[in-house]
Amino acid sequence: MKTNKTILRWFADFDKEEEWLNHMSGNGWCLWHTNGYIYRFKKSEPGEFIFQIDFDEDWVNDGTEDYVNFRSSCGDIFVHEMDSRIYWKRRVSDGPFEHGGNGVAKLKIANKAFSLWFNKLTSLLYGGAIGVVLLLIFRLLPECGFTKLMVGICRDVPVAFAIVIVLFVFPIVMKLHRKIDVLIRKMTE
Amino acid sequence: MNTSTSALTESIFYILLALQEPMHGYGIMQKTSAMSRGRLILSAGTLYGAISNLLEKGWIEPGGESSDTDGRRKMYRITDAGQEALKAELARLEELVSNGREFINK
Repeated sequence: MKTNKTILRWFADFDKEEEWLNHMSGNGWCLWHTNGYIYRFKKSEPGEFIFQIDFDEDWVNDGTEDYVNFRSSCGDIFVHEMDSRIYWKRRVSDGPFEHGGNGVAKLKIANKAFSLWFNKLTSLLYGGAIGVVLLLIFRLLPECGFTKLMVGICRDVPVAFAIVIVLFVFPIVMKLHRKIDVLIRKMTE
Repeated sequence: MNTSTSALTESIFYILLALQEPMHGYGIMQKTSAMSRGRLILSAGTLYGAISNLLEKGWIEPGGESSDTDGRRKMYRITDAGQEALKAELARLEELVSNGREFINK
């Protein structure tokens, strides 16, 4: 009998990813590792665990360990951390992660995700701007093999960043912004 | 230390109530759920944020003897400032209830 499964997937929406992981768990496949594209599962009892995706705000100031220890001491089981996403699981018998109507907690996770993707967007914009400035500088320098190479790199990198921003990062940031708006509206209704 | 007396959220109020005796995070989750008769279920993630805020305000502090053997569990206890904030909130709530009863029963 198969005890391991590997699936290739990519999610822009963490809610959909979480839903899929819970669906997989319902079918007896429990996530243990992912790199954001390749998801690895181990066989488990169907519906034994529920999953939650959280976002790590403290990776810069090293607060992750404290956060993980705290949640682990409260019954949540740390599964994996990837690119500031923390994957948690919890035994269904221990109850849900959140109270069904806990809009504040949902909003907090959505806000964390928004900050994370917004930071990625600004980093790409800064990276692209630096590339353009370097391109102008290398164009002004006397032409040689090195400057030709650098002009090529400084031209291609901002273009690649722009493609990533337009196709992936900006739509995700906007989607999270809309999600936060919806959550706020629901809470104030 | 923050001594602001603005209204406390329900979660913060119950966390401060739970910390009348030193307790770890899991204990706070259990106690708040029991005190609210299962209505308020705090998740570990939400509780971590609330505890960080309370530590920052100086309303709670790490400390107290753990009754279990799990060394990972940090204990917390309420400070004098936290106790003052809790009393101020209780007075505010009592005033609300008193005024509500007085005017609704008119």
